[in-house]
Amino acid sequence: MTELENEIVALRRFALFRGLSDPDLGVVKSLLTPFTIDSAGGILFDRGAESDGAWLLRQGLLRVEVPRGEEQVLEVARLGPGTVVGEACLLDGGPRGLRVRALEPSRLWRLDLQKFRELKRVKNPIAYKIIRNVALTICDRLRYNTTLLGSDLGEGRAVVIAPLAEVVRPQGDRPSLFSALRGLFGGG
Amino acid sequence: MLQAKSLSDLRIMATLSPSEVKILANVMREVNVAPGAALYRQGTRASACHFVLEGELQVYLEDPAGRRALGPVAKGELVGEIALLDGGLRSATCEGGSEGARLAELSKADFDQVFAAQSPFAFKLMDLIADRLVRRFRGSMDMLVERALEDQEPSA
Repeated sequence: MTELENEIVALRRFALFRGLSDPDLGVVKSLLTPFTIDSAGGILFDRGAESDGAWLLRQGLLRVEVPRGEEQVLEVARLGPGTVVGEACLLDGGPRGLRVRALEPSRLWRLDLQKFRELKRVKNPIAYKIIRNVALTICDRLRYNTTLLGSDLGEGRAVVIAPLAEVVRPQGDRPSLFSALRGLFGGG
Repeated sequence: MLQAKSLSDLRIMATLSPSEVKILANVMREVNVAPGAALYRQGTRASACHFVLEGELQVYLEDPAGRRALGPVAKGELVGEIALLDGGLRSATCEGGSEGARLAELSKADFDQVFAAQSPFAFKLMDLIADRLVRRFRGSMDMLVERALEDQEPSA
């Protein structure tokens, strides 16, 4: 297989590209920029930062977290290869809602926001297939959020707060806000 | 089937050609809802969205303690659009307002067809859905993060 064919196979792992043909994925490939995080602990993006695209994790491990003070975090999810993070910006270009940090050296692709916007501006159907896939993912998360916000969060106080180097997981079987937030991202 | 003229008053149709509006009028159907009658109930399977052509709808969130009004959906507005994405369960109940309502219904199956045909309307509607969805999503995330952090015991 050629390098491009291999990359197209790799792109098929991502739900973001459901329904796209091989030629479509060839176009998508031109929107991607490879990116490497060499060491554990590196921040991919921070809450509130300006968005520059969606991130596709090819290899490694990421943590979605909420910063609390200078030295503590709430761990929301851990994301493995095949996951997309930060894709909401493809819909609105809005800032990052949470912080994402690499827990291992990681290899990613960035789906460039400016290039994607250009594809959308010319009404390329590929852009709209991707928008529909992003919307579907967000739809699932929104339904989950709505359920969660309508429930009694006071029952789920076992939330992780720990120094960055040592994330302590909640004990016991009680439903927790921690697990609920993890559910938003499908993190393992 | 709808009269194309009924649809042409909707803002989302403003940049479509008369022939595109006519095509849509052929796939959409008119639905009338009496005052207080249910268009759909929370928890039921969703299969269509609705544009309000005349009158008004009222949206309610149901829970064991009762129902909470989420607000009206006025003439020209769209309701139930998430159904076009995943055909999941309705997240709220929608009823005719005090005067009832006349609606244009677009089914998920028909939306899938116009989307596959790369209709300018489908792309505009997708933009509208995505915009509304992401705003609601970001709002819900902010609320959850705020509540998650409020829920913490002071750190040791």
